[in-house]
Amino acid sequence: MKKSNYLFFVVLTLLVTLGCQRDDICAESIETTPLLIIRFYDFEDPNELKDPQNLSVRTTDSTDFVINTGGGTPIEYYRYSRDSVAIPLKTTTDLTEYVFTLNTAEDDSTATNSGLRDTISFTYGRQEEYINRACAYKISYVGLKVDVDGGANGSNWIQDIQIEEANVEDQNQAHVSIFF
Amino acid sequence: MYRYFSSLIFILLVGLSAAAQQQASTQDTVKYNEKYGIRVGIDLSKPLRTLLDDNYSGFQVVGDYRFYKNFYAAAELGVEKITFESDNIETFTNGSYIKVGGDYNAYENWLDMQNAIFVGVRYGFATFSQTLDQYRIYTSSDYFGPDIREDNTETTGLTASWAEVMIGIKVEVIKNLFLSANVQLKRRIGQNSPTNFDNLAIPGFGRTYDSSEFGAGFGYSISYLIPFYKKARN
Repeated sequence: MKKSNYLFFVVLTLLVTLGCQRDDICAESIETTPLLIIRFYDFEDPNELKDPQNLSVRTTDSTDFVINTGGGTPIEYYRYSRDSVAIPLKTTTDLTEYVFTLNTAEDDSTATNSGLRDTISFTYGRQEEYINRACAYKISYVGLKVDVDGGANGSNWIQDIQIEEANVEDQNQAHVSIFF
Repeated sequence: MYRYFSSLIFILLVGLSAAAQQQASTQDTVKYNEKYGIRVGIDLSKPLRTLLDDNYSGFQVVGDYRFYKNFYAAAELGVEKITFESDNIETFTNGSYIKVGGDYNAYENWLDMQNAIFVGVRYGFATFSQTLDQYRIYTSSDYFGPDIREDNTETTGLTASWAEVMIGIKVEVIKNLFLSANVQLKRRIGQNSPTNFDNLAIPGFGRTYDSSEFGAGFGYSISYLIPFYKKARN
């Protein structure tokens, strides 16, 4: 009787101390800090999507191109020719400046000396939102503003840029339209 | 968590079959006196965990009072400091709690033994503070590198309450000295959490879960019975 009582304690203590803890992993299905979605349209026919040819996207302070890891295989925005891009905005400052290079030459691995280059400045406010313990916090961007600068003569290839969604809270629709 | 309960059910079954055998063999007319009194003690698992786990420190006193046959009024009082660490967030919770309720001893003792297999209910209340030490702004893109922020904002005056059921055993190892083990299932009733944040751990409740109000815990305590009077078992 006494002996079996002690056994209970040993078994119970072991079970309790060996008890495993569930890992807290941020699931991909959870909405975290949204990417900025830009779609490209034909300036002559504003309802028609248009693929920019050999578009490269990088920030003004980097020679690395944006890599979209969202949908399965990562896509690097270097000589990219589809009608939309999803790019991150800085979470640490209220300004992110991107260089969009159209017609990037094959031998121009940094997209700095070929094609038509326009710099787009995105300015916004940032709001921190708690998600959960696995994903911690996200940033929602509010009051998005854009400005295109192509140097001395205005813009080089972007004819018009419009904000579709000034508050970037999710990735359900395009936030910015570029006409060229 | 379910592992604990299945093992407890096993323990209960073994205990009950043992009890049945004992009953059959003690068909005599001798009356045994049972002690009534207050039992006080400390939880042993919490100081042990304080030593072993860098992210935890805690202390708890336990007590119960036998007021009628197999019914005990019971309470626990404790303090806990819990650090919650995951890949993207780190918090520190510091506070105290009280749990009050009762136990029912379902075990029929043999001779003058005073062991127990018991079920208990508790109402728990905690008051605490929570410090958000470090967190990450989670992004699906690593183009700009991770944005990890140190904050150290402490939110004080947080409270939480919960209901708890427990199941456990108590064994008298030497005269009037008891070892006790139990497992607890808790359900949060109410809490106030910091603005734009959540309580990741609650003293007395333990860590919380994002998707449910439930929590689990265990206790392992040593306690001493101060007998007030004896009463014959009928």
